[in-house]
Amino acid sequence: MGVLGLWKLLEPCGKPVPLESLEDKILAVDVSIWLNQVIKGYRDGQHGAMANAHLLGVFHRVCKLLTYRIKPVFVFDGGVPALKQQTLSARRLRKAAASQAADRTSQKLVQNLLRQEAMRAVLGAAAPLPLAVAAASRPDPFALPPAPPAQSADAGDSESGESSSDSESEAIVDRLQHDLHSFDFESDDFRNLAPQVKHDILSDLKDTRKQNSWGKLDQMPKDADTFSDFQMERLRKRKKFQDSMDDVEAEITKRNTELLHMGIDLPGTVTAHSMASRAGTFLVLSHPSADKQTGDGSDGAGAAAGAGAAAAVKSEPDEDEDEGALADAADTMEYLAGTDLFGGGGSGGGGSAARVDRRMEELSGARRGAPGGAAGRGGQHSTSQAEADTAQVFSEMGKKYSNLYLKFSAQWLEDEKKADVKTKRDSPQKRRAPDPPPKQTSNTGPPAAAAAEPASPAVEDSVWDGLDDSELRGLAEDLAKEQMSLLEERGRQQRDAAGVSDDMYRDVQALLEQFGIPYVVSPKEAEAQCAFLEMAGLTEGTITDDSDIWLFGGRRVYKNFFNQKKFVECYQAGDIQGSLGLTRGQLVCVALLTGSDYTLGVESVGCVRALEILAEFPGEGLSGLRAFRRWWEQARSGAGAAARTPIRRSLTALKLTHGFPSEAVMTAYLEPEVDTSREPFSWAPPDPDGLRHMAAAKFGWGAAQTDTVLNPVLDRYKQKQGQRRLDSFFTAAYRRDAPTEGSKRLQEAVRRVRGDDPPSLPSRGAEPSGPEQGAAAAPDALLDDGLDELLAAVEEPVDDIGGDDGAGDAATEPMDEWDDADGVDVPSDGEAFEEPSGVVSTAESTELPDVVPRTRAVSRELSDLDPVARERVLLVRRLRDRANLIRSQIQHENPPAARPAAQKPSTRQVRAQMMEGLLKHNPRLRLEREAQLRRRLGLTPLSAGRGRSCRDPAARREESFSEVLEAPDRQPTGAATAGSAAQPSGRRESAADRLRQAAAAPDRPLPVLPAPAAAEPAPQRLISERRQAEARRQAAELLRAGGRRRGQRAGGRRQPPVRRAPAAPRAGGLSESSDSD
Amino acid sequence: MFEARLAKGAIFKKILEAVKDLLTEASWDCGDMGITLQAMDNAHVSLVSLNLRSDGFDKYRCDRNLTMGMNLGSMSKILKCAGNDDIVTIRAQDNPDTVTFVFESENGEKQSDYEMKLMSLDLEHLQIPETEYACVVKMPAGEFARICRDLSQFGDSIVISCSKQGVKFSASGDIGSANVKLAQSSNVDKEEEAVTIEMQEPVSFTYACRYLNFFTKATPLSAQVKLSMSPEYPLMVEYAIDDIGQIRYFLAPKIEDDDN
Repeated sequence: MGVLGLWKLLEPCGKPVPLESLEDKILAVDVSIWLNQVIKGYRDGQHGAMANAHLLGVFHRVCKLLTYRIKPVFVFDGGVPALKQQTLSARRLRKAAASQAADRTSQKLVQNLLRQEAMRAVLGAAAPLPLAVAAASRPDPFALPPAPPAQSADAGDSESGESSSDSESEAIVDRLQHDLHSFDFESDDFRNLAPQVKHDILSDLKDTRKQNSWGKLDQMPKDADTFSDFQMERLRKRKKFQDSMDDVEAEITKRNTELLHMGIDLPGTVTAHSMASRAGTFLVLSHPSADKQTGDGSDGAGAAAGAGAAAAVKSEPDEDEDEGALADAADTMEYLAGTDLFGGGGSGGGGSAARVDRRMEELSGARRGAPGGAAGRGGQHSTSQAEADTAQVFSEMGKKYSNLYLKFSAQWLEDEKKADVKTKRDSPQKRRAPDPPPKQTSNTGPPAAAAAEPASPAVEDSVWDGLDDSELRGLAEDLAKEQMSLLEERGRQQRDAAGVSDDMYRDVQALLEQFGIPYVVSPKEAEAQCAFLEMAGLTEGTITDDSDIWLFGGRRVYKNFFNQKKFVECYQAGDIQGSLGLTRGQLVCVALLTGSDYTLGVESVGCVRALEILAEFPGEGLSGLRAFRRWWEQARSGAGAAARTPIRRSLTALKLTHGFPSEAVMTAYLEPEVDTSREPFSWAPPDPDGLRHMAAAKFGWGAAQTDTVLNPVLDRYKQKQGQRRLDSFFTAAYRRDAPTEGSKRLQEAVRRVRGDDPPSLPSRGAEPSGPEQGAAAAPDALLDDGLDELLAAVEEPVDDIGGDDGAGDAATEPMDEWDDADGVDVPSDGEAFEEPSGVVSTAESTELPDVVPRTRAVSRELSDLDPVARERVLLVRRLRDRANLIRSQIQHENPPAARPAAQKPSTRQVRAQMMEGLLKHNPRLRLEREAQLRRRLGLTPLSAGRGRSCRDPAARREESFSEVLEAPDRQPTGAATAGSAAQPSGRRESAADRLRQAAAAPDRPLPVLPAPAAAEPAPQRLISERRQAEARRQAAELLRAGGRRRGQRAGGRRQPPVRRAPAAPRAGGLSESSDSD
Repeated sequence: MFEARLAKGAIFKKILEAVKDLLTEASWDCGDMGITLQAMDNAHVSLVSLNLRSDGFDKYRCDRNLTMGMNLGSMSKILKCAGNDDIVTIRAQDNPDTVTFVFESENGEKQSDYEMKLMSLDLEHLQIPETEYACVVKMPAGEFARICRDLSQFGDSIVISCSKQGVKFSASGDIGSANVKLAQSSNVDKEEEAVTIEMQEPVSFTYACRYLNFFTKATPLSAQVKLSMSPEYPLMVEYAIDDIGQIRYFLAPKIEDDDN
């Protein structure tokens, strides 16, 4: 499943890749996610659950891979890591709890509605039913609970029409769908129908008239000349149709007015009818059982109502008479009219008659159900409780006809009887209300008691009520059972669908062997293995849609490979780092915050929020998140660190779980369990015979069908020559655009994570009081520090531009340049710090008062370089951060006490020390620097090392200053040997060695002890000029060989400030030193 | 504001003919130095690098660096509307959504302008280091086009071998094989018709005919073509464009698969 929302975040980094360009690439394929996709995909299709779907899917996909001449390595999942299991079960629990709560709520809602309904029905029959009307438009609920088969068989004799009505009506509907429009609405049969029925049919016709226009194609006359006749004919037909429609409507209106005259209160006849018909449709379903129950009831009670109910059971013409008994209920008049017709039309047969037949049964059923006791909605209620989904619909059905029933019954029920109904209705309600959701068993009690009531058939109502209760209770129980079995079945199906069995793996592996494709079974996670293979250089990327791969260290990921609707997208870790400023460690932090397979994350934290947190609390690895937690605890306890910014304020509202930045999760991602074999993979040609055989056995494919799929692959494989790609010769220029899509908040967060924006913190004046404060405040202070480097960088072009372009130029004067470096830095450094205004952008910085007079002169130059120069400042900041970290380590190793206090370290010493420290503590830095400088702009952020520790600001300034000097040291020396030394990694070592020797040289003329440098930083301006001169001289000696060629590597490109910084003050320094000497 | 005016408008027409089959769309980068275009074909097998220097234009003005993504098919349609002797001016605003092509007839009596919508293209930009090639062959462009066309009837790929004797193009396929050898010209009376070979070491590489035939669409631009080859490096086919610049094609060689 990956990290929540991570793909969305990474989206801007994805590049569409033509599949052709992947030729001959060795790509790892994460099969775990595949098989799941394939199985689901094939099940959802028309074929339903398909045997060997996994094989078929893999077969096609392998063919696709091979057609593009990709060399795949399949990687299978092994076991599930413990962490993942924990997370999954925790997630399940959480989900279950949530859904239970939801169930309970909806349960209460239903009960509440029912109670309200009962009250309203009893208190005022005429009260409007807004909900019921709304419910009338709901989708049909009848598909769910089919009639219990045993009962319908039981009832088959007495009511053949009813029992078969389900299947029959379906057939009829089907038929009608087909020949609805060939049906003749001028026939006598039709004319004899009840106006309501006619209206319904005509409305249906009208609604579907346009739906099957395709079907009319074959009705079109072949002869073009007769087409207009055809059109005319259709026009006439439509006119007739409209006429009959109007007639029917007129008839209905007439009837309604008649009804009104008879004093019956019908709230909107048509809606009432449609509602009734719906209710009736429902009752058709419940009839089998109802019939049975009624049969029993009529035996025992034999009351008039029983007769009515029995009449309902029979679909015989004599039903009419029975129905007639109920004619008091004036509303049934229409249905009676319909039933009359039914008597005649039923014998007449024909599609329309059959349809009417069905309708009539439904409608009369509804009538019957209404007075006969479907109104006893106690049973209905139990049904609704059994089925959370359909409960509401059902109860509203009940409501509808109960409401009607109440209206009718008002005519022939005495007040006491009504009261009876009321108590009966309310009592089960009350009893049931406090029950927990699955309460089938507890339900049986009250209805049983209610069922006992009708034993004495004295009162009509109670008989009915009793019948209804027991009948509906039985129905509810059946439905509940059915529901349970259905749920069970569905669950099993889902499990089947979701689970990829071991057999499938074996099948797929066998298939791969026939294709000659190597595969690996990872000890744990396939993604981790894929990432390892790539890091080990065994593959050139991974095909997966699982974002976990990034956390495991994937460098290049191809997404949507098998999604035909989307382009294949290539994501590269470098792009992600460049564009979003996210390293692998930070991605893990994102996962820790948002949640992933290994951790639930922090509630209500999404990717954007996670980025904001990372920007707010920068730090290598978990240190940022730890700082976040410390801050959060403080903020929660109200101690000290108040939330100053809106972001921080919102962060205090989060709920961090115990042990939040989990070390275990970090480790699980950074050091996953993988198969560490580095044995290279090999591919064999596919075995066509074996594959054909397998296709025949598993998919039932004939030889021809197999060949159509397989031949392109084999042909492709036979091609001896491979076309190379230009990508293997040229390197792509680096792209580091921040995403321009996404919300403003996201963009802001990304900008801050990338570190190319002044943070919104107001903590400029605030002294760093805690580590997290220091970390947060650091960017501001560091930005200040950036001024001097910036100035240096600004000046440098004037002095050195020629040197950069022409290599020889710079090579002739390296000594002087270096010699002066230290000299001028001192004043500029000091002045820069006296300048209080923050440097927000480089443009602003050039407006500052002349720190060094030349700055102004160069400002024009700078405006050209503006974005670049700006980048430089940022880069310097980052480098310095890293240097600070190392320096603190050095300090740690060489406690200040061991050193005479009076000694002031020279810049060069600091530099040398730093160099040593850098190489000692962070060999990766070297590689990163290397990579970075290779990029075209040389200005990419190094967000990997953002570790900052809180120290005295002055110390930081001093250190950062020296770091700037230190950085160029490495650079030119590295560049110096570039021409001669073939190994890039070797260069640095030699340069470092030299520096290390220089730092440790005992016989230096410099009157400075070779003590560790950084511990006691002093403002540079205190260093005597003489010492500086000495230092310069020595630096020159050391770096003569190195600095000489530094122009060569520059190659005319713009360079980061670290390389230029020392060059800047050279000219000034030269004059100064000569003065002092 | 960007404006580039070229009296020999036909050059643009020819350039478009030379690239539109290989590329569907491309980014035109306009800067102080001139106009450049770099794009790979879909399969990343070949690359077109076009360079038009600003001093080659009759009028060139570029206030800010621009990148204009264009659909080359559409651009070609527009340029087909230009007469061979028309003066072509390309114009765009600083942050353009559209680019305007203005064609003026030689006598200035007819002026037409066409505006085309730009595209936002996210194309990979490759860095092409300058290299010393092991072998550089200069030959008449027409000759090269003809050889490529002829040999492509025999097979999918052409082997170009270069030795001291001369340069040999060969192809083989189902119907047979074909070889064309060119020796260095002894007389260099007409520079345009000369075949010259500068060679450090003999080389022999296989290239896809399909792409070479795309490259030779640039033949009208130049009388001479320069083929540069090196081991472990793509073939470079270069056509000079008058005094204004050049168009270079890079093509990755084919390799024999070892494993099957």
